[in-house]
Amino acid sequence: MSKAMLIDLTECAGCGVCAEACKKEHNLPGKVGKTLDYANYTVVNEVTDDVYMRNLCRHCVDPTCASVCPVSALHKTPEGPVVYDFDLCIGCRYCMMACPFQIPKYEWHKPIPQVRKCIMCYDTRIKKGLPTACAEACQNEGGGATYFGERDELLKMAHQRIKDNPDTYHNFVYGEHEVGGTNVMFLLPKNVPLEKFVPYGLKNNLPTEPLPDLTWNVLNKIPVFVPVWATFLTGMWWLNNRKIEVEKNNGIKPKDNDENKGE
Amino acid sequence: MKIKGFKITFWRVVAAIILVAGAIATYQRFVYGLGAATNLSDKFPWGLWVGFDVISGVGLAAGGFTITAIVYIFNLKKYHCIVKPTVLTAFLGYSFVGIALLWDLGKYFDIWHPLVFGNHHSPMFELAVCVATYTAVLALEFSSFALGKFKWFRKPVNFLKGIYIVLVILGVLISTLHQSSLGTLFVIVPEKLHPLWYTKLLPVYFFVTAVGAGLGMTIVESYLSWRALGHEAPLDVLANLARGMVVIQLTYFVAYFEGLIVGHKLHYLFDGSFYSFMWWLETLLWTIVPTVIVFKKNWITTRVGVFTAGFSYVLGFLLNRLNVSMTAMEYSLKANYLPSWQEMAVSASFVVVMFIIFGFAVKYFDIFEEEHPYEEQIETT
Ligand code: SF4
Ligand code: SF4
Ligand code: SF4
Repeated sequence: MSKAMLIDLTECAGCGVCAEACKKEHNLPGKVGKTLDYANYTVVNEVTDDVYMRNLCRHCVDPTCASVCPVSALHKTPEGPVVYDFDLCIGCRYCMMACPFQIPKYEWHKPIPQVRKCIMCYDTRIKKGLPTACAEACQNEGGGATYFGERDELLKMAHQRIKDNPDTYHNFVYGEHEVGGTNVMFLLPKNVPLEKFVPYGLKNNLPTEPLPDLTWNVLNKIPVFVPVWATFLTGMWWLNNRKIEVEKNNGIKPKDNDENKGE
Repeated sequence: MKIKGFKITFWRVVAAIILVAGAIATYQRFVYGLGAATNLSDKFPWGLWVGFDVISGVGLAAGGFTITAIVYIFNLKKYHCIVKPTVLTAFLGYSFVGIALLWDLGKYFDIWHPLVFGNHHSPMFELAVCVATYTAVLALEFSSFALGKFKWFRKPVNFLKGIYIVLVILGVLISTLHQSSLGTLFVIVPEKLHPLWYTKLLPVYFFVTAVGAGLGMTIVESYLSWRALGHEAPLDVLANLARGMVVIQLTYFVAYFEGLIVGHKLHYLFDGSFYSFMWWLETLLWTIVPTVIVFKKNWITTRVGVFTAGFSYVLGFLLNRLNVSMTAMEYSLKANYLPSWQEMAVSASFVVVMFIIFGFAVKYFDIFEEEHPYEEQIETT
């Protein structure tokens, strides 16, 4: 069971009720903005005439932010959302550096800042079995572009739509495979190339393997590497000191021996 | 610069100005927050305090493990005369990295969290654990020759001397891990780092070049303390360090360059962009200049020649780390980050304070006074 959202951008009206609902749900200060920041977990931007892009945390299946966080302040819940624990966070901002979608934002103006990002309404809704505030608002008052549900069911629905209307949609579900898959996915209108969406939060150069694999492939070598390297170093020490002892026993003073000087 | 008697000199005035600026910046940072004191933003979350204070700082303090490995593990005893100043610098360097981190962390008072709530999938966690442990190891190494002059410390100091080789091996082991994990930090952003700097081998390259930086820094320190304090390490010793440094650098460079060829990245070198310029500058400083000097017989046999090779390498190393952590990231983040004066003042203040403490420690702990090799000392005590 993994909760997810599908955003059909052909249906997005650019009304922004999702962003307003999010502000209300999470008591975020200020007016709805056009760029993600500590007070805007989601934004809607016009890509070309009447085509809009909605940006928010993708709740990656294998989240990069959670993988790099040294204290697991960000972590993936079994229900799907990637949530944040301010008490654990040390404010290193590695999550902001590493997230492939540049989602986590910081409260730069505060002496003791928090990392802020969409948490898929985890505490207030998902835990209680309710849909997210933005999806609900979008379906009830907006263009009906944001759907909430189980990831596999939404995927099925997305592929059905592509099959039924091959001229309307690009032939892929954005987020099905990107960085190992994400829990927030997009259907894109065919008449707008993917590159156009890049400035608004979609990327066209992401690998399909989860990014945490990259660092884990390095870090998981450590337990193997340490005993080997330790043995080698100790061995070298033993070897080099023994050489001097042997020379001493043979009556050669180590000081006279130029071999050690490396030149 | 004289240590005794307080004279107003040019460098003292500069140092004082930097420290005052650093103090003001510090006040702003802790009272008004990171946004007020730095040019960091959501677009560019890591700046000078990470790139210089931490990532470069740890690298430049690599002399500690490099020189102790050469002297104690590979038993090249003639380098023994530079062990103490190098271990001291490393100890100071690592302590300051830890302290400087307080300025950068949003929740600086929770700096200990990684040691308790560690996420072992995070390279930053590994870094934190290693830096903390290694600073402790360096403290022990340093105590073993600094505290001997106090009567009460005789016993523990002799114990430390007895297990010195264990400390050394531990130090090399931990250093290998965290010097490389500085590179691992960036392995997870393949699509963000400029292609000239991104490679999956970053951890290996960071370790290898850290060894070079350890040697380079040792040369620079020796020269500076010769200029400032009149202590002199034998020139042939330093020249050999420079040669070793160049051999390591060339080995690295060939491997790295092969990577560029295999990855079809050569055209980035000639596209005339800011990034290609930075790459050439870096390469000139840490590969070309030292190599040329070292292979010119009448240059490498002079103090200035050796120093230039070392200093050039250190500059190139610094640039490389700043390139990886800042320039190469700017490429994708589309941010024009330049550090604020507060960021520069704080970083510069740390350098100044380190110089001052180094000067005092050298005087107080007889850092340059040569002792007998450590085994003999154990026997006589
Ligand atoms: S989009 Fe970024 S912040 Fe959101 S889960 Fe993925 S890595 Fe984390
Ligand atoms: S800033 Fe906080 S949440 Fe982000 S990686 Fe650092 S400790 Fe984790
Ligand atoms: S899921 Fe919740 S937190 Fe995320 S954008 Fe929608 S309303 Fe905001």
